[in-house]
Amino acid sequence: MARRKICKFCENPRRMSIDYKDPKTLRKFITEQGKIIPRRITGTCARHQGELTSAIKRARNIALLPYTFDVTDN
Amino acid sequence: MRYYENLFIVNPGYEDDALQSIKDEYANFITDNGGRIYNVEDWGKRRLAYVINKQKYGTYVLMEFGVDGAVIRELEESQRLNDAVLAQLTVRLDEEPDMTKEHKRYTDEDEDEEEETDSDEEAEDAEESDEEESEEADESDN
Repeated sequence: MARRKICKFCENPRRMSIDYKDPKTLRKFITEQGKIIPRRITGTCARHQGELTSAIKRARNIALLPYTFDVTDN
Repeated sequence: MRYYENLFIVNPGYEDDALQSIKDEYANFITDNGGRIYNVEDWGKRRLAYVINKQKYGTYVLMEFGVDGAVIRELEESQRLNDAVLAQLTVRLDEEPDMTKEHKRYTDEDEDEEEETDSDEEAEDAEESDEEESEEADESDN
């Protein structure tokens, strides 16, 4: 049932690039709480997951992404 | 000489001349220390992902430049001491910034238009497979 997923960044390197300055793309790889989604779920390859992880951490550092979403708000 | 990009957030209270003088201050700092500025990009005011110094918004400025590594420490130090700068991040670039290429802009406007349909599809896609896979993972855990 589980179809083998292909890493989105390997699939289409031109359109999908990893950049900490691009929160729009990175947002797809974090949960609603702001946690980084494991690659077993997203299907990202090891190399790109590593790049993704450092990009997300950089983005958090400069307030482009949250460290955590405020859960108590809801 | 190495290439860097420095992204910093200016307190949104600084506008026009005041903002420009901050940008000039750091650009001049680089050139005065034998560096070369390739690009200074103003992203305008953006909503911060979390509050910094009681500010919800900030003006993002990106500078791409080449300079000796020792200067970076001084640049970061002076930004840290500047109350107008809410946060800063310096990243080393692997290669010389290409001045000819068009810069990809990540402003708030971008988030509303273009590729919207595309990303929606992908988001749905991710959700579906999300469920599948996590079930699978649960089983193997037991």
